[in-house]
Amino acid sequence: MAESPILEVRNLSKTYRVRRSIGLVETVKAAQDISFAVERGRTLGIVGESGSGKSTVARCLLGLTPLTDGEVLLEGNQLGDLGVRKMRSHRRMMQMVFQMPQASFDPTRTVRSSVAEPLRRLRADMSRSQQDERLAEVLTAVSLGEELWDRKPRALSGGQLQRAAVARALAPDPELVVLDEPTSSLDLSVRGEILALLQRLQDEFHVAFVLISHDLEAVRVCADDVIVMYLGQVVEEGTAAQVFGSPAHPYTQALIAASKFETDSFELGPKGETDPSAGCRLMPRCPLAEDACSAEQDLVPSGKDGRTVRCWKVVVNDH
Amino acid sequence: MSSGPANGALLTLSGVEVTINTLSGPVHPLQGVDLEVYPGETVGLVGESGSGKSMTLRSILRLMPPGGAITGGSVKWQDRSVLDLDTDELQAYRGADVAMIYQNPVSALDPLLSVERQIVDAFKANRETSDGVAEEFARDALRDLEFGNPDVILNRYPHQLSGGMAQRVNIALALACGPSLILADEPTTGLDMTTQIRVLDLLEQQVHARNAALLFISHDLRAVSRVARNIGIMYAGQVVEFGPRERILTDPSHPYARALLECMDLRTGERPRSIPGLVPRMTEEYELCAFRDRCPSRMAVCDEERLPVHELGRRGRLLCHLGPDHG
Repeated sequence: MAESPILEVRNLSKTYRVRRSIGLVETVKAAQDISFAVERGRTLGIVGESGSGKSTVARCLLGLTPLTDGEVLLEGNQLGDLGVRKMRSHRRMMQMVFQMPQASFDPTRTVRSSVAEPLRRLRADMSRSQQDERLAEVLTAVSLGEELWDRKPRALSGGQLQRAAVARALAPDPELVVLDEPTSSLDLSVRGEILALLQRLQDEFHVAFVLISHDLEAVRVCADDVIVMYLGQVVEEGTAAQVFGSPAHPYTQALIAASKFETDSFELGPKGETDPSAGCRLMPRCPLAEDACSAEQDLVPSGKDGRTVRCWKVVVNDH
Repeated sequence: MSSGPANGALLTLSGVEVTINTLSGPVHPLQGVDLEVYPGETVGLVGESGSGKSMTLRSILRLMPPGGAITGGSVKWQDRSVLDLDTDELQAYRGADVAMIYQNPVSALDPLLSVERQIVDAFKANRETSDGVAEEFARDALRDLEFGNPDVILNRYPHQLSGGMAQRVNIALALACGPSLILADEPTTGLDMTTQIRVLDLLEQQVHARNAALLFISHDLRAVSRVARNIGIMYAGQVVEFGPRERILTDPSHPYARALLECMDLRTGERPRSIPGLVPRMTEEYELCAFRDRCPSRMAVCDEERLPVHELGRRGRLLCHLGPDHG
């Protein structure tokens, strides 16, 4: 029997109402009809430019904002149906690592006290001494020197503090950790340290990761599966090997070329100022656009290798 | 310390040292920076946070943070000492000779003035001219920077611009006084990767079209190598290696530069690499190599003798006991 996914997202949509000026309220479709599943011990990468809806999806997964439509299932339980008490037990199962470690720690508290917080709050089932044991276990697991445990965040480097943030996320023994740009505020010489740490801890604790990043290189080496988002929609989904090895959607191709600072072969036009209302959302920027692209595009399996792509041209070419 | 007279260089930094007095004691962010920029040349400086990149740009403009001062070395603009300029001369030098583009494009603009007002003011700052001529410049500059409808943008305020648009406006502002050298401090760091390339290419185009030189700093070697022909690697307040882009990207000599390239190169199935140890905090002045605690090639001499300077051809330099010819 195949293992059931730890996290399943079905047709998630999120619409924000934005007040532009008095009397003018616009709706922004930040995420539209997003579906995916993550299995225990695996990593799903979500990539896209700013405004693509990556962070909106993360907020919805963690229940930080209500969904407009769709379902988020954690171990088969629908998140929206849980009461406050049950939600707390689910909080234990999913944790988050934020982009800026300096901003995600209380500057007045020691690292030890911040890392202990989710244990104290979410693991009432553990005795105080069990909690302290677990605390030492996770701080050791992230190789944070014991002399730093009782220091304030400002005494730690960005890399050290991000390791503490990973320890804090793992402390209550979650099934799923959402990593929102975990390396983008770090120097290149410590990026590898955090990525290697995440890989090692995943093997050790068998936790699932959702890795949101615009650092495509990091996603390429860490993720098992990848979804590529553009203006709130998934435009390509497949294994990391498929998506990075032979990107199918024009947007994925452009994104990968841009991340290598090589765009001579394929370049998107400038980002538009307003969302196109119908048809392919990439159409105004896409060098391959034709009249037929103004029809609504579906996310369909490409004939070649089972990945899904939201571009009729790719699908036609593959069949 | 550095190579003799400024033979045609626009800008020459020799042994520049900066000290900042803070509440917890002095910090020494620059500890002997040597750097030349020649007319029309594009130079990049790469380094991690705290390496002294931004402080190098600040020392060129003599823009010191509170408590900070240039405490050693010289900064020369052609054959004049920038450190000896009086207030009026300094005012004329900033903007007209050397202009700066900052990291955060929106906060670098005045939120209360329209794009047009800001470009016109900059254009007129060092010139006797009419608003009409200045407005013409603003319109042309925005067109050169690929704004489809410059008149719409001219009437906008900074909050109505996206990050990429605001940075293109900043490029227009930097060009307004007709400088011979443009300094760019991580100009594309906060932008989307697709926008980054566009802004970098436009910056390079415009700098070339005006025969200006560019000194570009970033933590991202890929961004630097897209625009700069010559690249310097900074570590602990010094330029530890300098050379043509091709050599720095493929076969650098300094162990730190080599380690950085390895960190950039992530491979599937291999553990991502990092440089063990911590970046120095710059509270001490280094007599010896500051990288030696983290260096995989550390030798006995590294703990005993000051760093030698190896000149490698006309545009190459290395600060390392290993020398240029090792493995």
